[in-house]
Amino acid sequence: MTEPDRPAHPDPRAGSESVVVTDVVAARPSGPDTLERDRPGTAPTAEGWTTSEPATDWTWDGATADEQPPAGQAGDERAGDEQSEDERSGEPEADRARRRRELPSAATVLAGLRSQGWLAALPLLAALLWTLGFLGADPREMGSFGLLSLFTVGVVAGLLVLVGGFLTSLYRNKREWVLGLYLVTYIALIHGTPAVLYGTLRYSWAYKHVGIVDYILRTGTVDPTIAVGEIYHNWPGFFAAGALLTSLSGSPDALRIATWAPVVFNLMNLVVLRYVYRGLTRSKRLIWLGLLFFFIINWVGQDYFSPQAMAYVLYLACIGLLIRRTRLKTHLLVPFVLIVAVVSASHQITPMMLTLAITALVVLRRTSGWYLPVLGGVLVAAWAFTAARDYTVPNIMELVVGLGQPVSNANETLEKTSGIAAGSQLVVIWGGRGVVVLATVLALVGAWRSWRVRGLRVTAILLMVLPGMLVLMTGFGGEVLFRAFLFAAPFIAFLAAAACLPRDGRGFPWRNLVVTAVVTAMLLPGFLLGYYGKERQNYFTPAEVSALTWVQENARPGSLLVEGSRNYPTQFKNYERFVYVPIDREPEGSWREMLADPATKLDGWLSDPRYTDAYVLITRSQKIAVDTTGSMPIGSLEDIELALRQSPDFRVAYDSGDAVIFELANREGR
Amino acid sequence: MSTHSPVRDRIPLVAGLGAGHALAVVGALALALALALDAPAVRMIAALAICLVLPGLGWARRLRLRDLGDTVAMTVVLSVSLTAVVATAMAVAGTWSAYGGLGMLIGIAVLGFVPVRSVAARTSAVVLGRSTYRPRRRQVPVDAGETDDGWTDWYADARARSDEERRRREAEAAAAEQEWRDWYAESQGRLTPDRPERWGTAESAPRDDQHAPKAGADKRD
Repeated sequence: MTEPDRPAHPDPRAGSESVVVTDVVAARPSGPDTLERDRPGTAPTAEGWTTSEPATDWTWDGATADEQPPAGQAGDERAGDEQSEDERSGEPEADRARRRRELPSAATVLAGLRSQGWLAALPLLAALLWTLGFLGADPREMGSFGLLSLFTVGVVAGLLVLVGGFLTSLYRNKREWVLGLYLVTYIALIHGTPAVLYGTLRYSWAYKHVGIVDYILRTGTVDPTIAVGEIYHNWPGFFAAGALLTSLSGSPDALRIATWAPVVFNLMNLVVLRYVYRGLTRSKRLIWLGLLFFFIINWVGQDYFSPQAMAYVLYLACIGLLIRRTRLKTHLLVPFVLIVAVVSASHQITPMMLTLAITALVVLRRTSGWYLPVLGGVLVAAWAFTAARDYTVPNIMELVVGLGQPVSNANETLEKTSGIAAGSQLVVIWGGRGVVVLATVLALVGAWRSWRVRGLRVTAILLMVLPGMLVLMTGFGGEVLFRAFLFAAPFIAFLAAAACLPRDGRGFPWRNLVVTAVVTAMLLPGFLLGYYGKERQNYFTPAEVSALTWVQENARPGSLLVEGSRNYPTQFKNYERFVYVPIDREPEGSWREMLADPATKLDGWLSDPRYTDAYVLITRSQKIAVDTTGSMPIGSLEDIELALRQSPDFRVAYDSGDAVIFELANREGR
Repeated sequence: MSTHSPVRDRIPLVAGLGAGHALAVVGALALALALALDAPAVRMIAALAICLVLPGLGWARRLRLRDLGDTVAMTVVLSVSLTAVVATAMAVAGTWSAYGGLGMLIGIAVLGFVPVRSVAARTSAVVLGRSTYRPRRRQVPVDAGETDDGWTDWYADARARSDEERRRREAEAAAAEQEWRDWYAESQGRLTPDRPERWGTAESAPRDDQHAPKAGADKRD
């Protein structure tokens, strides 16, 4: 009997080729190349699909080795016991990552809110107290301490609740969104209150910038050879962007946008600075305490509608990009080039600081890429000597003269405040300086403690010290010390925060909480003085704005505008049509002649046939500024106004109560 | 659910797009339409979103930052920078056009969401009739031109097909084994007709000496 045909032995090792796998692999679309390390679950092999243990660190964001602070660098901290509630829950990382990617449901959001407890609701209470505290406040009644003179118990209570709640949340290691809510509320209250309370745009320089935007909107271009405001036309990046935003919003001008610019720029600073700090450390408490300190030491007030505010955000972002990665990969080079190019086309001193920082970071091996300083320098020089050559070439000697003159450059800033008349303003000035001194001392303590325990936080210390080199390079019109502090402030705040936290970076004992609270209590009054102390002269009434609108709309091109001082809502419309002569910037001999016989002196100026029309403008805010700064004797502008009102040679062309515009009674007949 | 279809696969740009891209395009168009409304507050918010968020959103996602806050930061920075570049170019060139600028910003925003490598691979597959995809062996994901959306769909589909294939092979193996067992049992029964017991029971187990050669059987005298 023959044996029936034996079927093939069911050897599980034999089998068909994994055709499907091959085809599948071939057909796989381009995707992240995180094959061997990051792919979860099953993985194709030569034999076909096999099941393996799922990778525990799978995320769609791929490898994160480069996201960590480079090993051995300053601030190389890990979470340690600074574990978030997520990490303490024991939930696998893959599940946490998946949960982060998914949008939370309403129930999840509510559960999250409840879990954070009453601390998450405190910002609302603080905002309520602050708002109630300012109810009925009249900005016209601001005294010599500016907006501080309008503070009530409710306002102070709101601020204390806000800052106290933040520190408590930090102590209790609450979620980042809770801490962020506090700082967002802080920014909205501190920087949004003038916008709501005044009803007009504050600060005369903001109006000038609105005027550049107005020029672009009217003409569709910039004129690098223009006589007035030429520097803005040579570095037009910010103004062009502002013009595009204004056009798209449908507004006739940028006044409304500029009014809220401080809030927007500070919110940008918040998110970008957090990005920077996460490149120095992963300690949540250090990051957020550093952020708080930054917003209570940065009284310099360069957050208004200005090119430096935008350039500052981009400067921080570029620093964050460099310090986070030890090697700048190709696809990160594009953001680097983009940011440096925009900064180069928008401002003058920020590109200098940025190039300095890039060079220092590369030379001291905080980041790699020898070509980065070269690239940055080329981009800066390219703009300066091509599109901006009409300004750069004639003024280059001014820059060269300032090189290597730190004392002279610093004195330019200090001399600006030397003529302060009122004692209250001296308190304001020294309040701001006190913040600088205290914060810097704390930062040095933080640097020293870090050096003893965890190695030098070289990067943060470097970036704190580096802006001092600006003083070696230029006086920047008497502003260099302010700007140097502004660039150093983020890293002063970071190191000061490090001084308040435990040396080993673990936990937040109550002793450190007390120290932090005391430090905050010492810094906050100085910040309020520095930031709000000059609001009396920075506030412009609607009547002043309406007077300026009248003259800017009615005066013919080529008109002369004699102004009491530059502190008023100036040059925000048709600005290029006027020739501006501020009385308080005349040589002392000239304004003394003016004070002796204002009508005769001004008659001579306004009769000049070179001008189509001629006006004298005296406003409430100009008088306050002259009396406060001491540029002329107290009451000088009141005397000039009185003399012109009494003179038969002059008549009032427009009087809004807070601003009066004079013209010659019979100019055409002369 | 697999998102692959013959028609979709043949349109490279569409094939590489997912729900996220569609949402981004729709969002951009909605913001642009909001600018046409006669509501100052809505227009202002739309304008701020278009200038401060939209252009950089897709590009920031390509940086593959793990942290949402970091992604927001880079979104804002890139958006501000791109807005400044577009506006400055128009102002310096003297070709100012708000709607031209809007179009450029929307175009940049949409480009940020296009998975360039995926589209290029699919385009080559369609044009050349074959896939030119060559997997890399790099351990670290660094190519900013790629997005994860095609990967997501492919992985889900591949996983499903792999599971199906495994089940099929297991079923085949089980069936083959059973067939072999049946044959073996049957063959044992036919070879030993006086032994009706099937192979595999203790009683039918062959004795050790059943097939053993007899002693001396192989000796030749």
